[in-house]
Amino acid sequence: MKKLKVILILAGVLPVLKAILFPVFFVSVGTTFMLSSCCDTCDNPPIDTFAATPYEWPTPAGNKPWFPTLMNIPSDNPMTVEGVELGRYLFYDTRLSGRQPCEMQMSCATCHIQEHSFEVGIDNPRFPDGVTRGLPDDQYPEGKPTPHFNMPFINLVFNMNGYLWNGMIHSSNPNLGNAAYGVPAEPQYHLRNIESLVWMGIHAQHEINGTVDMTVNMIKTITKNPDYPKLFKAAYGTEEINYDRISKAIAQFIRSLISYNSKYHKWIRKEIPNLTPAEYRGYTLFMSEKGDCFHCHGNPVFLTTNLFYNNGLDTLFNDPRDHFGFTKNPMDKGAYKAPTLINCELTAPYMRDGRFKTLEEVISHYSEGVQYSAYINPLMKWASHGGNQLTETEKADLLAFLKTLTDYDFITNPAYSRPADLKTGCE
Amino acid sequence: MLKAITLTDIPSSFTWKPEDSVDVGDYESISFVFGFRGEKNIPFMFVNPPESQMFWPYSLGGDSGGYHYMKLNGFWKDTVQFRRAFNFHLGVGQYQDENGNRPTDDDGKYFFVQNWFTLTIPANFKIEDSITTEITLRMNIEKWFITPYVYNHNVWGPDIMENQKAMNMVKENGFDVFTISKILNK
Repeated sequence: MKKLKVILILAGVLPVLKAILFPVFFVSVGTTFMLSSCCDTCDNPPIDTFAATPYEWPTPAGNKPWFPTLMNIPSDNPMTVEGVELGRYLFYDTRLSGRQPCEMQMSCATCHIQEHSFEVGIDNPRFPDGVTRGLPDDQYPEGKPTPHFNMPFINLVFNMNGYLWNGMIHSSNPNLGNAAYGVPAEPQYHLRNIESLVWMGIHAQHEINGTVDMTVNMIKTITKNPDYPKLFKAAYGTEEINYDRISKAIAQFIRSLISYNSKYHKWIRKEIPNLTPAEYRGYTLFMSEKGDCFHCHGNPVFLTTNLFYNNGLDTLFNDPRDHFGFTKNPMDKGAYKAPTLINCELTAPYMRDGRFKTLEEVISHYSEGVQYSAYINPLMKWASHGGNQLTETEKADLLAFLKTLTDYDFITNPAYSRPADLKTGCE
Repeated sequence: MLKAITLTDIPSSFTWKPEDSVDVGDYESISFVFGFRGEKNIPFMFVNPPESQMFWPYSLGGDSGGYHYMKLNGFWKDTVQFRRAFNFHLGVGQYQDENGNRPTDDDGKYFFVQNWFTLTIPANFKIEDSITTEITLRMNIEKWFITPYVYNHNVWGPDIMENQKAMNMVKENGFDVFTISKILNK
């Protein structure tokens, strides 16, 4: 067999330019080839899903392949209809906290609310201003505040670059468990994928503030509204309830949350003819080098690169939960994930610390509030001017465009809603 | 001829193994297209990252300008030695007339300028059966900014995707950026 291998290296010291370069370029020799993979982690043998129905993903209309073929689904947790449905019940069941008193019940849905794109929402009656807190204990009678604000649960299955604001939930993370949380270093307590968010959420003092044992023991007692043994049997072929199956079911439900039907999406698919003039001007500005939202919130389908950037919010960086906290690359100081802008109209407050309450404040930050530092991402090329200096008309147009990203189908889809027959005793 | 489009997403080096077989024989050069020929640069043709993240906005590239050819980001020191960011991005340009206006055709569509180019690098090597030939292609970054034109960020500013004059200069500087630094038969 004749073989050819091409190694490309970069070279050259730039006499004028400082060498902080992130070179990415295409070398084209002809026909397209595609990368594809169907599993991220393949450590564990697949669960016997003989009784479960393979899950069918939604497909937007149109003649283009709108969705990636690369999906972040571990081989030991294939998507099934029954797994997703079980996960939906568990996601909304506040007895996931492992405790019965209503004031001590909490589930994923307590903080991740469908009408706010599965973020907490700035008008949340339980969490004023969107500041989420864990269940109370002796140390924090009001509940410990969550160190970062929510991120939306939307299109996560297409994210290959790590979850959470700092990306630490990533296929490359070798760590297991968390001694500070009292979680042992066992394989099911990995930090590689969405399944990890379940044990973290259950144990974190600033979230459910419980234990997986309490959760499992509670779920085992519930045989009505819903009949969990029956749901587990349908999903896994056995009525046996354990943490591994709980986390996998919830992860399946979270992966099923797909948003692609905003006004903007329908327009780019040519299902509707036009945006309004202001919306179109805003779109053009978003996709221009002046507005330049697209380099970080790009991918025209998902409105995020799922990558991490220092976007000029601060000049001092001492948050242990930034991207540097995970990568240990000094250039990642103050860098956080650029979240999707789909449904951004619904997901205030903004940034990882919720400092901005409105989209207008966010736009003003990028216009004249950017703070330059040695760690600012070079895509923030107007940082030396404080920002891209938008006019009031440009700000209004950009806001009009951002509002076209609201997917009303997603926030009302009954497949993603609280099951009507779920009864926790605290309705 | 190999038929493949490959994205090089590199901190410092990248190895690409073509899937197509290569004819045995003596070779005198390597040629490749930097970027995409217009008919191959189709919007939305890449659905997976990292290629999908290289998309070039439709308003800036039209139907034949789906993706960046290159993103080179970094910092330069301006005239007062202040460290400023640059986004040295190459792709399809927007045609402007001598008055700086963007004319349209009868359907109201803008005109665009293709900035891809073909490079031919002299290289004498042999492809033999059952032997891997390893070719190290080197991108000398500074050459994007030097020959034949000295590229001055203080003149062109931090970004060039909407500046066809600057992108044309970058394209013309691109012809000597790549060299073959090593050829090994293993």
